[in-house]
Amino acid sequence: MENFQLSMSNPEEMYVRSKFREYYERAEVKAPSEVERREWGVGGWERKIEARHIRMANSQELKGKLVMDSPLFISYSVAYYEFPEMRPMERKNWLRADLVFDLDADHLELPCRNRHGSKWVCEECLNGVKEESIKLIEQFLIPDFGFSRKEIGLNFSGNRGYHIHVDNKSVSGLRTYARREIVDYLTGTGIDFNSMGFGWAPVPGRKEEKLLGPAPTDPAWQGRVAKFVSKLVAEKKLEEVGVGERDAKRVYKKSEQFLESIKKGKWDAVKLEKKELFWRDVVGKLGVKLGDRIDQNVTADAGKLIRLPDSLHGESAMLAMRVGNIDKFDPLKDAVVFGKQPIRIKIKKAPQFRLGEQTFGPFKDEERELPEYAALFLLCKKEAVLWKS
Amino acid sequence: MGSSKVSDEFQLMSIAKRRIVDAVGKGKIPLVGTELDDSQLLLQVASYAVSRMIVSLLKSRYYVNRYAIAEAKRASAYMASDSDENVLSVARELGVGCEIDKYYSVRFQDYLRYAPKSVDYKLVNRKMSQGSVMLRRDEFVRVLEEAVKLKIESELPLNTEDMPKNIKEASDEVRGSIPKEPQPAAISIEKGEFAPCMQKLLEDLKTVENLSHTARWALAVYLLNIGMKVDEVVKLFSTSPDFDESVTRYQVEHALKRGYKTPSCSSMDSYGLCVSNCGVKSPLAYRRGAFGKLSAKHE
Repeated sequence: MENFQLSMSNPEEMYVRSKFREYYERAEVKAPSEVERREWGVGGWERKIEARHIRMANSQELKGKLVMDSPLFISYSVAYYEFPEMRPMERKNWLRADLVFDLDADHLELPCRNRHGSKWVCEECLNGVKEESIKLIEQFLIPDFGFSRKEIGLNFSGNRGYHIHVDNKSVSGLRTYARREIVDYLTGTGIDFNSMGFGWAPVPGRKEEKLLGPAPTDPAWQGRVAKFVSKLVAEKKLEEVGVGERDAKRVYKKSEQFLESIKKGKWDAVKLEKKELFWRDVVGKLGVKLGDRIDQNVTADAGKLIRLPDSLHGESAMLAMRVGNIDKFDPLKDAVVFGKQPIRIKIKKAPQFRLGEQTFGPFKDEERELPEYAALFLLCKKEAVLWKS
Repeated sequence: MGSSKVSDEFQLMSIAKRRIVDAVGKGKIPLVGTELDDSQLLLQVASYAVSRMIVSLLKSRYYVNRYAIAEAKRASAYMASDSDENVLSVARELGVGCEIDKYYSVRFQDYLRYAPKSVDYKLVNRKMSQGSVMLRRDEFVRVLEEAVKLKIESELPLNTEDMPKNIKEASDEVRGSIPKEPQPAAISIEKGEFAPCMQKLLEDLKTVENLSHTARWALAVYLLNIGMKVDEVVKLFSTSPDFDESVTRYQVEHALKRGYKTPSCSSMDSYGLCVSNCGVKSPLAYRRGAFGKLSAKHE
């Protein structure tokens, strides 16, 4: 406790913490299920997790901690332990863990990142990561894994991503290997050409055989492979998976026939040398292209700590929160919780950004009076300091 | 009547002992024909219960695991030719969520628990819909075999206090007719010399956990790649409960002949075998790194 206070040396951190404290005094924070079996971690100005192996007996203790310490970050373990406060990890005695997927805009490698780097987010990345989250739920978790909509919870992380929680007893006992298999499934990692339904079939009365493969209507990854390849051909983007220009042109020339015949699982419409090898390469690269959407470690490491919904994020001063209707959810507006009272700050550098209904910046070495929520946002990004007259 | 009871008991004990001796010694319990009469079939069933008591008295995880593997293989062989109905009821008994209609399908949670850890069983390469993984019959039976093995392993050893005298005697006899439990190979591995993932695999070998085929393969290839001889590799693997020297030797020699390369870190990661973030691209690079530093010190 004492160290905690001592380490708080800069005025910006003190200010942000005092604002966070005010928020926590009035806010309602819902503790996760079985709060006493979770390990907790709190973070400050320098690191997102400065102390961990913390146990909270109940939701009152949690609330007390938030008001007393006003941490800049608070996270809890997806795992349930017998002794959450013990260390090293083995002594905690792992009981089971929620199944959680972490989608972060930074992992999507969208073109906008080249403009604003990984410190900032923009509408484009937030929309991108939102779309990925919807896709994960609607195209994978529900149809393939058979989870029901009410078992799936979606949380905004408070900064630039989403956490998808699956609340289903039958998956909480899964160990690292099984969790990794699920992530590999979601990212298309390790797709094996031979398992995707490709094969040669004899043609009556002719010497050569024809190549059969998956159709877009097939279930699971077989169908997905056919759909992705169809899309790449239709949008003339085969080069993205490493196809040479000459071969790509050959396919595009007959793209209509190809797209028509692939619907019936026939992969023969285009004459290519070493046809099987060609498609084998394409399928092999699909996985690589699709991977990285999900932070593998968060799902697979059943000892990971994850942001507490209803808590503030110390890199944005926005709220990590449960999302009801994702289609209508606008993180840059709905997760803003601080007021409009003007605060004077000195801004080092910031690109243009929107918060709430208002657009701010760009700024460079200027002194400004901004509404509290925007000032806190920039202070948390460490691109502004308090302006003392 | 009395003498027949004695001979029944004698027969029961000898079948039960045979079961373990075969399982531990040969890695295989012979199948019995279906033409047996009811009382003989009953003996077979009863002998399983007795075998469990005897093997528990051997007080060895190695023997228990080796026994479980052989029982599971035997069950699998029966299921291969049994009716769908019977196989389904075995699956239900094992607690495996499944269904048989057009496909043999298993709930993905159970599938991930029991399916072999290899490329063609990898979840991403399976047809899955509504949480069910669709399998062929032989694959379905293979998954059940693993479930049988894990079930037996988890149930054994039984509590061996108050075991009847004749069971204790039987267990002493069995101990006399099975190969000795292999001792960890005396190949010294200095800490820090091997990549952490390989070190973990080596430790798993010693502590007699059943390693997946992929794990064994990765370890064997790694050991060959760092210059270990086939004999040494085979010796290391001999501590594994399902060790079969001729099979292991064949596979290790095969790996050497084909010149397989140690899987990269990202492959190790997707096999679920990566245990640490060492910042290298291949487990071999870790070793080179470690050695590099060591030799630099010596100079």
